[in-house]
Amino acid sequence: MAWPPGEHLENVIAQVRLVLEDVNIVRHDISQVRAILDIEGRWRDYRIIVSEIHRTERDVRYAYYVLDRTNQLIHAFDNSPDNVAIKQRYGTQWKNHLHEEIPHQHHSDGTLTMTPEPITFTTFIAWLEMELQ
Amino acid sequence: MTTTLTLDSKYVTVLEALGNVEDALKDAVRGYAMTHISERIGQIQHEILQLQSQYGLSYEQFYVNITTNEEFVMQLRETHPSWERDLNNWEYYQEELATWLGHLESILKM
Repeated sequence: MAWPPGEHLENVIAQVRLVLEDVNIVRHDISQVRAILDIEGRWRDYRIIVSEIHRTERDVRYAYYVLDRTNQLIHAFDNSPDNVAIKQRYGTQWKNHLHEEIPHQHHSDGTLTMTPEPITFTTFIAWLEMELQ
Repeated sequence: MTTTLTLDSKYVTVLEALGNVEDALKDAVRGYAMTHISERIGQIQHEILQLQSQYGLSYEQFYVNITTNEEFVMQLRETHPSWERDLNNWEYYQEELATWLGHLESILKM
């Protein structure tokens, strides 16, 4: 991701405003070496959360959520260094990969599966429109 | 590293009347920076305290748990279904706090 990420974040915000309703930009802050974006909105009956942290020395870490009206998880994509994801990918060797940020997704039944590549807000929206008709 | 600043002659006249122009400018810039850095640190600490209170842990303890403790992560999914978002915010504020404390320390040493 190019640095500084100002243009990227403005593009995400513009897309959010096009696609989601009741948009609330909770955090949007850029410093010299890192930036944070944290947005909530509504897509149909679903609560949507968009979170991205940009850092000069590391890849973007993201979390995109679909929740229902009672705040139950419908689906989520993220690449946090989640112990369950690390163990699922590396098995008994997981301790050698402690801080890895692994792209994965959470399903409504509580299961977790890997995604072949990192997700962006654009691909998240495409997923919403494809899977939650 | 130093940078040359341009100052309106009206201010130069006033500052000369008050004493040394260079010292007055240094004091003014230092005071401005310290005020704004302190405000920023206060805002960041407020955000960090909210997250600490929400999870009952420090950032360091939270990070160790999410990366090493499967049971903790499974429980977290039940109680805080969007905890990864909080991780992003928390990391941002922790690292910003370190950055701004570093700026403050360097100014205090001058």
